[in-house]
Amino acid sequence: MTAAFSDAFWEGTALGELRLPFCRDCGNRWLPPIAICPRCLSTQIEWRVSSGRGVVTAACQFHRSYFPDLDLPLPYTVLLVRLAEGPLFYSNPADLASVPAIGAAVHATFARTSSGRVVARFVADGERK
Amino acid sequence: MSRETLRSRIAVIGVGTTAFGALPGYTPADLGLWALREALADCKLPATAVDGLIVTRIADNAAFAEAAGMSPDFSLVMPPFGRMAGIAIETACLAVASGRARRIALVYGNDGRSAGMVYGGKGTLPGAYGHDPFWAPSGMTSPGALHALMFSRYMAEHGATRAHLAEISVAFRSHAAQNPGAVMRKPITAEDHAAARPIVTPLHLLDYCLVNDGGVAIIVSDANLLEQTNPIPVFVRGCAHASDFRHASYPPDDCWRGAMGRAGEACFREAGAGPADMSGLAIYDNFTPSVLFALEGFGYCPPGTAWTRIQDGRLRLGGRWPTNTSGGQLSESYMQGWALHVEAIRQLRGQAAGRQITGAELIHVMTAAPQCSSVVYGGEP
Repeated sequence: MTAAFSDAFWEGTALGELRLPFCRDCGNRWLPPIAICPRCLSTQIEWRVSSGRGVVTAACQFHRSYFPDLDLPLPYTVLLVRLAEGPLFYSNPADLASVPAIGAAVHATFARTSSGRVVARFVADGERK
Repeated sequence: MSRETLRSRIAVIGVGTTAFGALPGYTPADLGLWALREALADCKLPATAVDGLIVTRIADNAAFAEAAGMSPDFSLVMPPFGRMAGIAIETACLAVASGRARRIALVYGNDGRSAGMVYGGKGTLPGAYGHDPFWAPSGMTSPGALHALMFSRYMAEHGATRAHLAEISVAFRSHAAQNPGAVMRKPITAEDHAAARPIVTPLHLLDYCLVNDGGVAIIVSDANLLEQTNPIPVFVRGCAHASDFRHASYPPDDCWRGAMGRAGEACFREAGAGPADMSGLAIYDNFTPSVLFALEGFGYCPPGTAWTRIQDGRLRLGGRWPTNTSGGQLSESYMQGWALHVEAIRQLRGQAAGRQITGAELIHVMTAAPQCSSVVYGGEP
């Protein structure tokens, strides 16, 4: 399998880091990962660690499985988090079936899935997980 | 160059639809051919009288034209997404208005039911919004989930609840009950809507469009050629589209109101008419919240109010703006917008039988999506 631009993202989560592409030419940060800056089309890109902090802007809960090979027991919640650095991030609450309030301040935590991949999930500020 | 008006320079002369439902054994191209046959019969023209062809969700325009016995000089394939119907019609109008073709057949075929199409997960088409393999480890996928997220935010901002969506499902089903061609005709109640099984909440089964097989064909013509064809033309009074692609993989903060506002303004200016002039509406109802977003984006309700305004029955036959009088994609047939255009044309011809809007003069077909489209049809130029 050839290396993908997003590999660096998953190398980050394995270390407990939420990384974002950063443009050395214009300072932009973005998601989903694209190897060219979507603001200035520069190729001078590096990965920088994000604060992992953000705000929940939307939430939904899946009652049907579209990915049978993922270990996401039904129902599971998907959150859209606006990271402090700007990009939007699709994720889950650490407590998968919980539904945080829209507008809640959250921060990233990390969980290892059965495939071995480490994913970023979110907990409300003031809670530990 | 300035924007040149297309107002009533192009007319729809023929429409055709297949049966809708489960049609095993037919490919998308077969379903398109079936619909094309009906549309040609509708305007009493042979396929060779059509010199333009646009196919959607049919993979190959050359193979399709070969099967249809035509060799159109103007021909292209558009992507298999629901937001394309209005844009394809606008493209055909531009081609005819600039003299590239005299008559264009727009043909759509969908075997989603028989092919077991699932709008989410690994098999989702690249470019379908609400899906990106990068996000798959979170379980995020599907246009339905994207709309569930949008509506979760809409509820938090404006005070709506899931129960406010019921009127949309119930109204459109009451229209489908009057349409012998509709897939789902059994009337439903708000209680049925509340009790439907959850899919991606806040959306439940009756908030989702159908998945079925079928085909649609629409033939447009230079309005100067009408004496040679169908005696009941319907005019494209205005058409426009606008995009918000900068964050196309996320729910937009404004529910695409910015793009709809631009498309609506250009379309209404071309049509010389606005929301107050419309006899009926056809709204892209992939999911019930899309109806609210379109009503607000195209100026039928102020932002954040459609969920409460529709409760007076204005979307029903007999209401101020009868909407999706065929039953729409929630109840008639999911033809990715194409059947909504056909219903508008049938209404304006007075051919909608038990669901006819009395005295229909102008109908507005609209789509809320990363690419928003708007078409106003009129019975008079």
